[in-house]
Amino acid sequence: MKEIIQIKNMSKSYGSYQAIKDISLDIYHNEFFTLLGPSGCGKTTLLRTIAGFETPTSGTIKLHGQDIQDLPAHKRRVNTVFQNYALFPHMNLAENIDFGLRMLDWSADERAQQVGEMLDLVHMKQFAKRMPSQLSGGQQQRIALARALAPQPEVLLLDEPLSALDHKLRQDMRDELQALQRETGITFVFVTHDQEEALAMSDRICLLAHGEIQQLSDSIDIYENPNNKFVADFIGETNFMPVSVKDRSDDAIVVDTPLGIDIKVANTGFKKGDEATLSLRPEKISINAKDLDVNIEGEVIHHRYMGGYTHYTVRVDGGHELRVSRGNEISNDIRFKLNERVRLSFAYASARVLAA
Amino acid sequence: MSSVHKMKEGYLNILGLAPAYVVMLFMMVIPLGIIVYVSMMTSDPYGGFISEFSLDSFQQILFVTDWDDNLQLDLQYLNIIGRTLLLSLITAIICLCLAFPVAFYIARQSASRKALLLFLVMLPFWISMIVRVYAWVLILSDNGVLESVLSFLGLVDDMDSLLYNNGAMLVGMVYSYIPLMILPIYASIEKLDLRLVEAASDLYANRFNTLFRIVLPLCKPGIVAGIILVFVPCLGTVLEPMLLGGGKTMLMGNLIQNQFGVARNWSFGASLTLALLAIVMIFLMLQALRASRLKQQEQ
Ligand SMILES: Nc1ncnc2c1ncn2[C@@H]1O[C@H](COP(=O)(O)OP(=O)(O)OP(=O)(O)O)[C@@H](O)[C@H]1O
Ligand SMILES: [Mg+2]
Repeated sequence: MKEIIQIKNMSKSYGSYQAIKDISLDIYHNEFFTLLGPSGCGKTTLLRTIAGFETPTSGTIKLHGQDIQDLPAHKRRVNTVFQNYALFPHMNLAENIDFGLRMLDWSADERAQQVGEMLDLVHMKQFAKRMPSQLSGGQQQRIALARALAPQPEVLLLDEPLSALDHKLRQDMRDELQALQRETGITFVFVTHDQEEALAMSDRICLLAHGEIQQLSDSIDIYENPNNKFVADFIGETNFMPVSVKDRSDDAIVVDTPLGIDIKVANTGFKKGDEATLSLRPEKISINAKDLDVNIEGEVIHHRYMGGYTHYTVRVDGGHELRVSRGNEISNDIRFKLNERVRLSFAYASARVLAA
Repeated sequence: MSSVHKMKEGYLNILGLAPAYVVMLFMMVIPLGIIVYVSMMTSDPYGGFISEFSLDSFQQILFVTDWDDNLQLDLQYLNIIGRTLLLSLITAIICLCLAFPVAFYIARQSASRKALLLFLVMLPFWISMIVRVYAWVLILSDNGVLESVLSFLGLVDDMDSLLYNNGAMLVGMVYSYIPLMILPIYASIEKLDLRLVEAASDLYANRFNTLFRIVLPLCKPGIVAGIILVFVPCLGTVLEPMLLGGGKTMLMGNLIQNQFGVARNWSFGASLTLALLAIVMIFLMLQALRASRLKQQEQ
């Protein structure tokens, strides 16, 4: 795979506050790349340095192998879909989409054709002559997308483009965005703080916290094999428990857990005697099902019906509480009642041991 | 809501607006009525007017009566009206060019600096207009402040007087009215979403294109308001032609003033006033028409 954007040792400070701390990362051609992280972690700042609205305090950014950190925004073949769309209020939709093409000195014919194609692409042809103020949020969003795609940028930057939309529309737009990315073959750099959105859409996810990269990998890997406690906690839900390493062999370690049992997991570089944290996702634990590596008993102390699945909190014998989720596949008559005794089972392979 | 309720509210609305109506009656309708009345009477050469109906004063704007009682076209007043319009327009344009960068600069400052700078812009309004315009007499006059400074720096030996010409009037008018341009433009720049500027540069617009295609069009309401606020009072300005124009180059303002003073021709003064009013009304109406047409387009 070929890199289109290469960021090396980039830092960005506002006064004494360091918003981005020595980040290095590569973004590949035709990739749907997501910057994910909690509010204030530096996602927007990173995106704005790529767009050219901020200059990094140190480090380099390359686009197609060419240094661009000192290039003004209007000379970068990179377009942005702004969080609040930032459509030009005094231009109609066609003029908004046309703006970038005009600035790039496209011929009148090419411009007219491209504007038409872009309006088609986002299914807004019939609205060409409307003003932005006459559109719904979702429609504005599409026009912002069309405007940014029209000049055929090398990279499209999207700063939480879906956050202002309602839940249903957001899910539709997810599919549309993804389809659009496949169709156009343009590299998307997508910012979100919604982990579900990130998992659903991305080729790769870069999880940031406090201006630093926590993990950069694809959806499955970042969910199944988190690098550290922060990643395991931020993406999805999990049960954490403190453990200590009792025994180790070349490829596996045995940890003792507050569940009163020992668990054997793959060795990710721990020594005998280390204190660590065990992470176990709620959906990896089954209730009253066939036996697995670990089988323990406990009592349901809480449940919450979530529609597609139900969350249970089970206090296992010995006192530790585990969150367990179970899909509501059949109907609700097999739900487990409060204080009901249940048997929980999970495989060793489901557990992950992380640094404490 | 019941109709009784509605009626009551209607009365309340009228009552509530009553003070405004009273003010308008005494400050606008009655004085204007008096001016219209005086313009249609005959002037008394000893001051005031005689209650004798005559439209001669309107005729006088364009024509003179020669010895044989024939009407002859006379362009001297039309000239003054034209010069007034031209100087006012130039003043408005210069004010616009100077005020825009100033307003832009102020709008980009921190909140406390903004307050300070705006206060400084408005500060001259606290000082009598005569004093402020007279200050320019001292600056521009022979051996005045400007000449002294320039000759001290060795840039000039002996300057022609800078006073008593159109240029001096223009300087005074720009100086007097520029705050009225800065404030509305500042207000519209303040409201301007800076993300739109970023969006423009993201879409390959350089500074020039961003200014002319995004910033200026979006600040248009403020610019139009500023032009009207400067242009209209310039049409009636008195002090600048009197003090800086030396009374040699008349503008409408001091032409009218003269009619009520030395010339003792009240009816003519009143009809000139109405002519000025008509010019102002035409400009305001054109603007209102344009605004309503724009609104319709948007719907
Ligand atoms: N212009 C600025 N001046 C000072 N500090 C700033 C500036 N812009 C951002 N910051 C700080 O940098 C940090 C990162 O900001 P950034 O906008 O990149 O966060 P984010 O990850 O996009 O958050 P969110 O999800 O809330 O949009 C924040 O702590 C913010 O306060
Ligand atoms: Mg942000």
